[in-house]
Amino acid sequence: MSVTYKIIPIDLNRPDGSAEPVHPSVIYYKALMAICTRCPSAALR
Amino acid sequence: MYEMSFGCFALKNNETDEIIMVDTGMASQEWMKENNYPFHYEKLDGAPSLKEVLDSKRIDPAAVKTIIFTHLHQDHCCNLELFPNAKMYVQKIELQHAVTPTPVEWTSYQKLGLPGTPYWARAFHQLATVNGDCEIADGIRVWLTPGHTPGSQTVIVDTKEGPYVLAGDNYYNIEQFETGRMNGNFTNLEDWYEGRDRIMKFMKGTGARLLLVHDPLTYKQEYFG
Repeated sequence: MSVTYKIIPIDLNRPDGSAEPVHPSVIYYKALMAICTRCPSAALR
Repeated sequence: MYEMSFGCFALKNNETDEIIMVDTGMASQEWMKENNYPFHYEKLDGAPSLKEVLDSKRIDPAAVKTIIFTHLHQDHCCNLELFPNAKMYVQKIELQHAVTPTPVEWTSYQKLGLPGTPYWARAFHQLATVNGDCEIADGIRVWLTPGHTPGSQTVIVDTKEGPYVLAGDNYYNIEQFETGRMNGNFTNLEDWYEGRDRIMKFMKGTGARLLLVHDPLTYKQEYFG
């Protein structure tokens, strides 16, 4: 038997445990909006 | 739509109490604003810092000698100044990709040249690359499982309950993993399915369990194993 571990989750969320709903495309959409001034999405700012 | 939480994992050796970190989470939103970082997660406003959470669990980050990065997106590798004595393991291809990511990934990797130095670059002298599958420590091994990023790695941890699989961001929640309906960020979908098949076979053969850093369910329990 090898060495064993306890796995401790490190919770970096708000104390109330809230996690806001996210659509996965939002992450990249936000990234594009932050950096790209020429892409078509920029028209939606 | 789904809920997304943030965090990382501390692996506590049952014999020595030594801590190995898997990822180091995101910096506080306040820190990011002060340092001109482009990302802002509204849901993290008012959230505790990594230092505060580690203190509450009596974990001394200065004593941590090993960190494993599942990948180098900015919500997984901040707070590195807390770990001056750690060697930080990342897949070679992931580090290469972090230097020259595609435009759509620029903020995820805190691209060099954008405001703020990427956190992984701040600790460049502490990084150690691995190339493919390997053992990081007794009872801890990594698999190269690209998909979410080119160098994403999955961490397999032996516990008293059997192995656990920490799969980084290849799956944001259990449903994505079980159904195979990929609906997040990925750089290669064929790789993503290949890695998922490998993990599913491993779990079926060993009874291993999956832990996901962005799944809110992960933080309902004090520890696993």
